[in-house]
Amino acid sequence: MIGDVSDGSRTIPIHLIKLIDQDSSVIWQDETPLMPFSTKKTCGACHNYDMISTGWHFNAGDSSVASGRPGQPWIYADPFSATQIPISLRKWPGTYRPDKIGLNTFNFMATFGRHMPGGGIGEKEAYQSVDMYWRWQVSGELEINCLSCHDAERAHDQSLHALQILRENFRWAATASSGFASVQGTAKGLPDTYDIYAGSSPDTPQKIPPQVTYQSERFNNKGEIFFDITRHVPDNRCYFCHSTKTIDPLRQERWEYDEDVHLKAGLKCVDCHRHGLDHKMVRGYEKQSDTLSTNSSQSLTCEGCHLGLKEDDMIPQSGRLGAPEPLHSGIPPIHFEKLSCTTCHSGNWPMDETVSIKTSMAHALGLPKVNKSDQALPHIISPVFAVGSDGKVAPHNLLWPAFWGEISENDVVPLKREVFLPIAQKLIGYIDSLSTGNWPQLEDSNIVQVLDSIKVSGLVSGDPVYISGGQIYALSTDSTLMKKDHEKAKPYIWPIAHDVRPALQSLGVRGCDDCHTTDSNFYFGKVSVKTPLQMVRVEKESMTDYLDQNPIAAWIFSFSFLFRPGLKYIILFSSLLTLAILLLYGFRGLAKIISVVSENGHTQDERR
Amino acid sequence: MIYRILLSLVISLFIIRLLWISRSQGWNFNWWINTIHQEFSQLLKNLILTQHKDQFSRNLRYFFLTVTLFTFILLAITGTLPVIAFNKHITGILLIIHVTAAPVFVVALALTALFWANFKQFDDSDLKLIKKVKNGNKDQRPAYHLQTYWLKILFWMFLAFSIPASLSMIFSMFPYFGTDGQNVMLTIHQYSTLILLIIIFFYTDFKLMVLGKTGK
Repeated sequence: MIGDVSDGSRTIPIHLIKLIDQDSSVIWQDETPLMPFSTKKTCGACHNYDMISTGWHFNAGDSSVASGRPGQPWIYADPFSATQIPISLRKWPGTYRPDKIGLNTFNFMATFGRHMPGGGIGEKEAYQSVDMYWRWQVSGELEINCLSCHDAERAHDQSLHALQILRENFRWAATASSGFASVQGTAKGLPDTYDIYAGSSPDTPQKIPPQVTYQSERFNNKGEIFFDITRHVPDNRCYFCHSTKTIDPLRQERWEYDEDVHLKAGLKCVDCHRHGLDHKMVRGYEKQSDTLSTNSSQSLTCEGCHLGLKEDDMIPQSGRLGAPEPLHSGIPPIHFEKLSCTTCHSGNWPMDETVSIKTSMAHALGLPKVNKSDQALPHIISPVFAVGSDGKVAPHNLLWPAFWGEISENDVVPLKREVFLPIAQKLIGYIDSLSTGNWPQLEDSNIVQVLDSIKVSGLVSGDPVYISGGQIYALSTDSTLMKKDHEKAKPYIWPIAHDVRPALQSLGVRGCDDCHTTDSNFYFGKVSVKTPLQMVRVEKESMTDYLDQNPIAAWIFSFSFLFRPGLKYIILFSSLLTLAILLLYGFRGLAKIISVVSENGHTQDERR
Repeated sequence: MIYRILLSLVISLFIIRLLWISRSQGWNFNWWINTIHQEFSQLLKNLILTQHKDQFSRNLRYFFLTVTLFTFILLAITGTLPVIAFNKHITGILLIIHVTAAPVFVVALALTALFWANFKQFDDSDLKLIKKVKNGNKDQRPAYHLQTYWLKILFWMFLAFSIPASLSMIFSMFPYFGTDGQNVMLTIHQYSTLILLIIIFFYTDFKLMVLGKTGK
């Protein structure tokens, strides 16, 4: 492809190109109906679209792709049925596939495509269910929106892309976000028989189908448009999907938070999170090279840039992008064996109790009319220090799954939306007059009521259960509520790496006491248990539960640090005493040797 | 890796040596338990019940030596086990035991040095012994004298190598050394303790040989 082969020049080519629609026809302003441009055809004319579509942001639906380290899931959250359940197309333990809760690919895209750059299941027929065929025809394919990342145009509005997804205007999403076109109407209410070329049916005049209008002044006399495309994706593009808001009562103003120290130092997200034409993104964790075809990703981790790689590297690798090499003075090497860099350097500083956070992907941040309440579902807490999949401790975000399911032979599967939503919303749904977006406060009796109704509905074959706050709730034989621990009730956690704090704000900067005290937040901070059930809301878990540490052993070890400063000096004194004795007798021995040597072989005259 | 191999080698050789001596002397597991128990009980009993000043001083001297050896064994087990078995640094309960025993060991060692140094200094008899051995002159009890001479050497070597072993860890607890310095300190600690381990093995071997010959 002409656009994929670099001639070596570092300048960014000017993208003055004609718009091409899904039928491979050039778009002219005076034609009717005016079609949205297709990125697959417009960008794909010069770039290998098929190869690009194998990238990390587009390949979640491909079961042959390695899932890699668990990441942030999509979270189906509904306050009116007290539900928040992690779902993912990747095989991350603890998540559920969308179809498990009754979300087919179309509904999945219509719900979560708002924070996806398109592609993947949004455009591949193989992933699309037959029963939604006509809806796909109406909405069109959700092609990769190349502009989501590569558009440097200041008028680019990714929230308009998201809005089109929510309106099921998949085909129009990229065009709407471009900054040189506007899209009116919605495909959501259109009948299955709607045809974009034939237009709206006279039977449904009230339905306004999606229509695109281009800014005529943006076209030149050849019908070309200037796309301000950049290889160096601006951080603002990444932020649309990867923003995090910390809900800290002590810091409520935006200016009280700093961004990632790397960004403030002048780097961009893509300086580390790189990829080639295949768009297989360097995620930045240490063992990602296991799933990537190149080992270069290993040098783009914290360790890779700041410490370099192996000593036998042919070319020195450390200090990449000007990364300073840390001294880590006084920190025993065991820390680097047991902890990831992010433990001390990333995320929020650990407080007495974890704080809640909101993320773009989970809370639809950045969309018009999004619920800005701090109580809005889903409830995600951070930071939780836990042993990650690589065996090292790292800060994680945590989500307590809360969903209605059925249990059969001790295996719990979530119920489909069409089963639990009508029942739960009717019985426990409440009027959210304050628009908090929070779930209701529930009593045991509410749960019993819903479980009982699900049971008598005949829609489930197993016993209905409710999972929340780390417990599974089921009806006992006398229709009272019983709870117990269950594997499926365990929280879903995923490691975080940002924002990276400055070195002077890293854990340990004030000495061992930052972590090694009997009340340190690292070991003994409280992990909030988020649940709508009032009776368990006060419960908290200890961080040691996630650190794979015996709390008593952790306490004893931390307690020993109380005496450690004194012991250090006692040991130092004792060692110096031993050294003094050693030197004293050493010198005495030396004196004896000198004496013997000088006595031997000397005449009386010499002695005189 | 080299350290792990050396450590495994030293410990393996020592175990083989212990088994060989036990077999040749007819010492079984119960004998070992009883002997250690008796020795330790006798030591404590003497220490508590002794009235005479000189004897008390003697018992105190042996008490410090025993504490030093006991804590050293504890440190050796907790320090070497994860390295040999898992090729990892010590953590968890083993680390707690290790860091608890370490200060006791260092203090006890200093007191052992204080109480024993005078008895373990080389004197004219050692000089004569060297001369005799050098000239091939056989004394009536040369082997015993030679062992005493070697035990003195081991004593001073143990003191000498305990200095880098303890100071390397103490210095690494102060914020003076970065990652590279910390690793150097750890290496110094590992190899000096390995030498201490070898010294203790030789010491034990000498003692067992005496025990095998004299029965006490």
